Amino acid sequence: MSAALVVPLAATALVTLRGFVSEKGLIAALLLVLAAMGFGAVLSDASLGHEGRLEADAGWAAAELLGWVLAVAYGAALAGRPGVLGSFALARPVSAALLLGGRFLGLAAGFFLYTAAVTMVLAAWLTAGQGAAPAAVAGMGWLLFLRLLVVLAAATFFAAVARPAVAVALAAAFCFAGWFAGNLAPGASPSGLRPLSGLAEFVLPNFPGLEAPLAGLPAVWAEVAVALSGPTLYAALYAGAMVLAALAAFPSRARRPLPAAS
Amino acid sequence: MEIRARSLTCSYPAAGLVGLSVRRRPAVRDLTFEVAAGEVVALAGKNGSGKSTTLRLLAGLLRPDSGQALLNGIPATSAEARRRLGYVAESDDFPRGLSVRRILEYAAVLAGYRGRRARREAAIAAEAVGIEEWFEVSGEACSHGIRRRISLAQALVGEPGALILDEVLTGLDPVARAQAIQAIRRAADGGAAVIASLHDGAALRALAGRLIVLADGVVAGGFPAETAAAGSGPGGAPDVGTDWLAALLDESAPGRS
Repeated sequence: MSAALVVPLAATALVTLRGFVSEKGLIAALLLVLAAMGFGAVLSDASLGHEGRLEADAGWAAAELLGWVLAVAYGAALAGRPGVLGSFALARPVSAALLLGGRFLGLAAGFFLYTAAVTMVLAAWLTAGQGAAPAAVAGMGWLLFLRLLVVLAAATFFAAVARPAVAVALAAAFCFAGWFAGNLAPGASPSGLRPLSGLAEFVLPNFPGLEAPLAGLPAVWAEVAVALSGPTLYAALYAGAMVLAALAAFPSRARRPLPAAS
Repeated sequence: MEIRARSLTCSYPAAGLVGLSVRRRPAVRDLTFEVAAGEVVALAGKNGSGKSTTLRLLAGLLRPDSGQALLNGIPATSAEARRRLGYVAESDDFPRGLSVRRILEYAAVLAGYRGRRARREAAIAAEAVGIEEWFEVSGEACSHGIRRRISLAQALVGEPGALILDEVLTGLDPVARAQAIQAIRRAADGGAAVIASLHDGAALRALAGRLIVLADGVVAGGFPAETAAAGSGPGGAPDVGTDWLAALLDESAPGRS
């Protein structure tokens, strides 16, 4: 890639990241994760010998739920209102696709920081207090990041083809459908719907494939890396495909007059 | 560099049920005019007359239904045409969480400058509109007037060959306004083609050499700013003192003879 492409892409990603980390929504989400852990700690007295489990579960659940909300909300707003990535940037001699790509990269980096912060807090608690293996906790954090990356990529695609309000609804429904389809028992769909469910499996994000195995992740770093290579490859390919589709669709919409404009 | 509108027509989808509509609402129709290098042209018209749409078309931010918006002969929607364009939007829209310095440096990077050169171009533009003292302040924390000046500064980054300015003087105090007018004039003296929507007769006199009046999306009149201000222009503008522009716009309204 040439410098003419990389420099504005990196600058846009950096500017987006700086904006994201200064967002009140992100800070509120991190505080809520801490509050959920605290709530779990209060309840853990009633957990009959499973102290620590409740704090961790409450923390992960809050981080996941709030992460999804943030990824859908910020991803769907990535392209902004008509005008479209901000007339400030769009009037410059760079393509709309490049600006959208830069913004996606910036947000992806932001979600990496979000999961890293959450994971470090949980890792500190679980390893120091409960003797959990740091490698396994880090692996859980990485899988959370992969799931959020996929949600963000799906929301980015809908941001490229629809207005933000519509994109939020479509992205949320799409990701929920992926989660729901992945949790259906194999072969649960009627035989007549098999081709349709096959297509849905291909298009919808496979969230169960991005979760830790029931037996838990290994305690050794190298084994964790091997166990996570498949999910990482899947998430990278899926997110890449969604973002490429967004980049292909967006430029034709970027300069189209929309009803909201005057 | 020159700016040219050639039979420019653009319409918006009319708002319909759940946002869906097959009908369209025309915003501008068959606009043809040009702004030569070094010329400052004012665009005037009542609210909703199509000024902002015209400027967005000229800046390449909207695709026309028909006709062409050209910057130096190249369609304005192409990146090549916007290489030396400075644009100020109607509303100030900056990336979040950045200081004024970072906003201007980002504008310089997007305009094609790198490293030290980008920082220098940002500093020069800030100095031109007098916002150096706000350099380290967050763009979001600035007042409306300062934000307008930041917008103008980012448009001035890198000696633009064309300036497209949408109500750039709105909300500026008299000192800032004089400074902004001087900066725009300096850009025009350097060869930039400038088109600016203005609502203020005094600013128009100080800045523009020619006036184009829009009414309901069409050109209702075009004449030298001096003659318009004096009330003797081809549009028959009445001499009504400081309110001459308001009277002119009223006279240009459709249905008036």
